Amino acid sequence: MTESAPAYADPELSPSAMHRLHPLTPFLRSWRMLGAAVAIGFGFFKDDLERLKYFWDALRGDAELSVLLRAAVVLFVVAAVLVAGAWMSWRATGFAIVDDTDGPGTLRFHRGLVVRQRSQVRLNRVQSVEVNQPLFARLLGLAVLRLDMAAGDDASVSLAYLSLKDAWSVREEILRHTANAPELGVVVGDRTDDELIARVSTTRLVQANLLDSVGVLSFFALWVVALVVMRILGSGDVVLAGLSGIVPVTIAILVQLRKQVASILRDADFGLYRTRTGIRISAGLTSTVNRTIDTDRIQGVRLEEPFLWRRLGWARVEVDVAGAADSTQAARLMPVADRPAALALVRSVTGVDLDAGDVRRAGERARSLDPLGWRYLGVVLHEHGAVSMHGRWRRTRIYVPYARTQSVSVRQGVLQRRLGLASAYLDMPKGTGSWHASHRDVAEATDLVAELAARARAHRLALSRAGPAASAAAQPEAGRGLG
Amino acid sequence: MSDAAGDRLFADPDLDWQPVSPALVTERRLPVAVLALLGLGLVGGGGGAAMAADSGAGWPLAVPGLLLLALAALLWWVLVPRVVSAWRYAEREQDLLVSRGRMQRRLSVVPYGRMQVIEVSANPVSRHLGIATVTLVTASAATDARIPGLPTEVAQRLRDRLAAKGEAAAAGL
Repeated sequence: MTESAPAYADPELSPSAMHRLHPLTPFLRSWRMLGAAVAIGFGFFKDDLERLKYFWDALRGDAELSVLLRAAVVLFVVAAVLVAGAWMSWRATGFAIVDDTDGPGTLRFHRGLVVRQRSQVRLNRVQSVEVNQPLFARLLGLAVLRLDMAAGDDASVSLAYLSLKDAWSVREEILRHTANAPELGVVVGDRTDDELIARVSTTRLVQANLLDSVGVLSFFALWVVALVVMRILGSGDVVLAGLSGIVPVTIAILVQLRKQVASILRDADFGLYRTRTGIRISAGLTSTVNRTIDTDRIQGVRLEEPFLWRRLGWARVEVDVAGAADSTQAARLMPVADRPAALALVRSVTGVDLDAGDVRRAGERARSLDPLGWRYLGVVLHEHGAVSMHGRWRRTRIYVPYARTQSVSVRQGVLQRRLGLASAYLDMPKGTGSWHASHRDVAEATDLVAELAARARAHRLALSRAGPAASAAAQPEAGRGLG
Repeated sequence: MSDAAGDRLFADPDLDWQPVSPALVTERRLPVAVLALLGLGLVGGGGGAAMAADSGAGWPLAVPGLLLLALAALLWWVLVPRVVSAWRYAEREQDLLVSRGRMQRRLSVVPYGRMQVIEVSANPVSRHLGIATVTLVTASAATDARIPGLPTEVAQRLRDRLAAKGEAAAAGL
């Protein structure tokens, strides 16, 4: 929760008394603008600059030199103004971590030259902490420290830029204040203590990516083959007609390739570490991300097995955390792993074995509504959460802890009504979870809704009665698993 | 088609279901009626203009449009009361149930402890009719708990009651 408090005026906490961001920040912040200024300047003085080849002549002739000088001066002034502006805003920026005597620590973040912004972040509300290095910052050895809050993007705070070393030490300081650190009575956050759980080799990542998108790729191949065959069999007109599709298909191929490359770059060098209170994900080739998540904050886990991965016994694990910035990035807990390892990973963060438990499958009647996937629709109710299974080609299991569910709903369309079926849903803080129990018998759905609501209530009460301090007690397995 | 099990799921007879105000029918009908009249006027006017311009060659073209429009408006007019009468809510000890829909039936179970915001809103039409909409917001965007067409004082009382219950049962995320 970022609370802006206009009345807040702590005399000793002027920005100058607080921690500063890294001095190179103004340059990094304004490099885009600088680039734009250079581009504009170049466009403006293009003709003049073309005379550069007469530079030596210009040195002798005063007229030419003055033009060059003018260009240089204008560029310099623009750059100076931009950097000065950025520098002043840097001067007005500062942050401090304040230890409240009677509660959790607070991060105060002051920024803004014209419009002053004062953010106070209660550190026990932080959902996840990231130390990220975007490409350009990385070249300078700088990093961004990002705090994700439950309220979403607007409430999240990014401290950009800090030196990498400072970013890590601030992260450690912050982790010391997160929800369940104090009662564990440990010094958390020192990343050298983190235990490596898993790594993903780049070869495997590339293979997995290709296999996952093999459907799209083979479609492209088919299209090419079809073109060639048409060329051999048919007349030129047919080929021409086929070729007229070349622009959209090429665009589609490029988009797909870009997605693949981005995904590989993002997940390359993937490492998963266990910290005292949660997990840390470290990944990225060009830009690196280091994301620390308290196990307590996990809103849902998804285990995915795309069609071609199943042969190889591979699976992917994603987690939902409230307020995560970029859903694709945030979600990836394990881009690819052997299924048993993936299951073990899920067990260690949630305490649940996704394969265990007695599966309540959707009945035969679901066949007419979901002819391909009906066999794979299922629900398992565990002690602390529920699992939803679905997907014919991309087999998916979604686990959500009862304690995090918001509301329960049930829907029945016209066809379902005719068949005496209904679908139940658990509404999670993040809409991506899509936990559903589709096409259940109405009587069963009625029981399911009642049961889910009752269990959610029991776990919510347990969680709130004990307060955040005992959230570990609400999820005992999780606590043990991370011991 | 009657199905007891489905009725039991979406409108449990053991619960004290509260209907929404019939005034909602008017609120829902009004914009469509206005639009339909406007459309009829436009199409009719266009047809008339065409007829006046050149011996009515364009006029037959407007007829299917007119009919379709009238039919759609009529269908809406007839269906609205059914939709409105299916909209109901029930307060239980721990949660609020909102049930709605005739074709696609929905039921939302919203625990009081999960309510983050309770919103009472009214547009000019509903204000004129003396009704308001109560919306429950949880941390999930998927939560769909809206009760339109509550008489204003009922809506306010419901809001206060929900707020009190929410405070008693509030839980962290």
